[in-house]
Amino acid sequence: MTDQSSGSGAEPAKPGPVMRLTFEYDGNDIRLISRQQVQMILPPSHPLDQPAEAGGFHVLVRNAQDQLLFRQARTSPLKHDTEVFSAPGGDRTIERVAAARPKGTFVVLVPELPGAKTLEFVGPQPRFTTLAAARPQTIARFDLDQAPRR
Amino acid sequence: MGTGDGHVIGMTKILDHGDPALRWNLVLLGDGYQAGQIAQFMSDVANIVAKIQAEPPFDSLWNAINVYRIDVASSDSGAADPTACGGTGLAPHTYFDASFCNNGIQRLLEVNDATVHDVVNTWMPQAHMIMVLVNSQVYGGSGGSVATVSLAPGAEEIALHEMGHTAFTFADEYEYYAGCGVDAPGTHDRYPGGGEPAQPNITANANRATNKWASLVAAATPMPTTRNANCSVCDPQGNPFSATTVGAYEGAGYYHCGLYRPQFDCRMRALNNPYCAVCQSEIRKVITPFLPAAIV
Repeated sequence: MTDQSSGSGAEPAKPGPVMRLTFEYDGNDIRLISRQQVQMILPPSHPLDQPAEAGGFHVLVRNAQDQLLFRQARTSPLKHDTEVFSAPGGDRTIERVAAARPKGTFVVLVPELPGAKTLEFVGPQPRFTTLAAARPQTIARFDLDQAPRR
Repeated sequence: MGTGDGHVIGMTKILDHGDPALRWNLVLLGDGYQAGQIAQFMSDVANIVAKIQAEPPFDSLWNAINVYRIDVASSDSGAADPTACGGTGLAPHTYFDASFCNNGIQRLLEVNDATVHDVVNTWMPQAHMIMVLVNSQVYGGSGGSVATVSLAPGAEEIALHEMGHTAFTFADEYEYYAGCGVDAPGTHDRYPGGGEPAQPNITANANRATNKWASLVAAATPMPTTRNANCSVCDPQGNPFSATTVGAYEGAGYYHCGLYRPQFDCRMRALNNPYCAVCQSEIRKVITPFLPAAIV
């Protein structure tokens, strides 16, 4: 693991090369539209040996042999539903509604790791991205070498 | 529409704690501000940054954070407010196309996130968190990869909740989806399994010995701390413990039963609450590596 992904919380981490990857999605169609290299610190990788059935949305980076190099658990960036906030003073302040047309752009930050070949999104099927109960599966997989450089 | 309706003026580092490669970088942009309103935008940004700084644990981590303000001038002032949602019908031409009434809900305020990311990728690609302030006094906001809020009183709470999701991977701690008594019967009664949630602030495990926030639970606090006696509804009981008691309160992650939250209330359950102790601990864990060496 490189320095930029090894921040322990006990001491300052060191910056390293990071891929800033920009994606667009329309429904279940997700496209990697740009790859940009920046120097920055990233939060550490989550444990690589996490059980496959772990709930939530995960970003995985693998090498050409399909070995896992990096795992990041995060809130799903795919807005198939969205939060609506009641005006102050209302009885309940947050509710969720299904998106009329799931569409948008988001960014993923992952370390530039030697041998990194693919990036994979794993989580509940997009219709249920916010429901922790849904079984995780591969949502999309991208060849990092094919990403247009910015 | 869009980028033809304004221009990016420039970027200012308004909170400078060092090299952006070493710090946690928050970027704020504005929409619906005309060129002559940029001074107001500066003031609006200062207000929300002060709000963030005052919120624990950011107050104790402030030296780890840089804040950047990207000034964007729009052709018109305000945000679209369609009459279909009871709005004014105003449809100003703005750079990021801010509009209320998304999904037919007036307070669901969104911007064109593709344009926002394009600007940030150009001006501040080391951004960890992006917020857009919309120049409107109508209450509204939204989350996702870009937190969007209006200037209405209380709307900054939306930004803090959404920052919890986007920057710190927090789950929602409320125990319903569309609302208590609104969800279709049986759809959100009990967490059906699917693994321990990856998010740090909800759990399916209320066992004192193995719970993921066990280090914050006092020996005298029962685990689970509350149980929902009727899983077909949201738990109606009030908090039987003090507001700061950390334990395992049943009802979280859109389910009445089977998932637990760390405190009775938290900003990730309902607005106008502080982040709970577990969320604060996680924020510290994420931000501490960005502190200058002399402070850690």
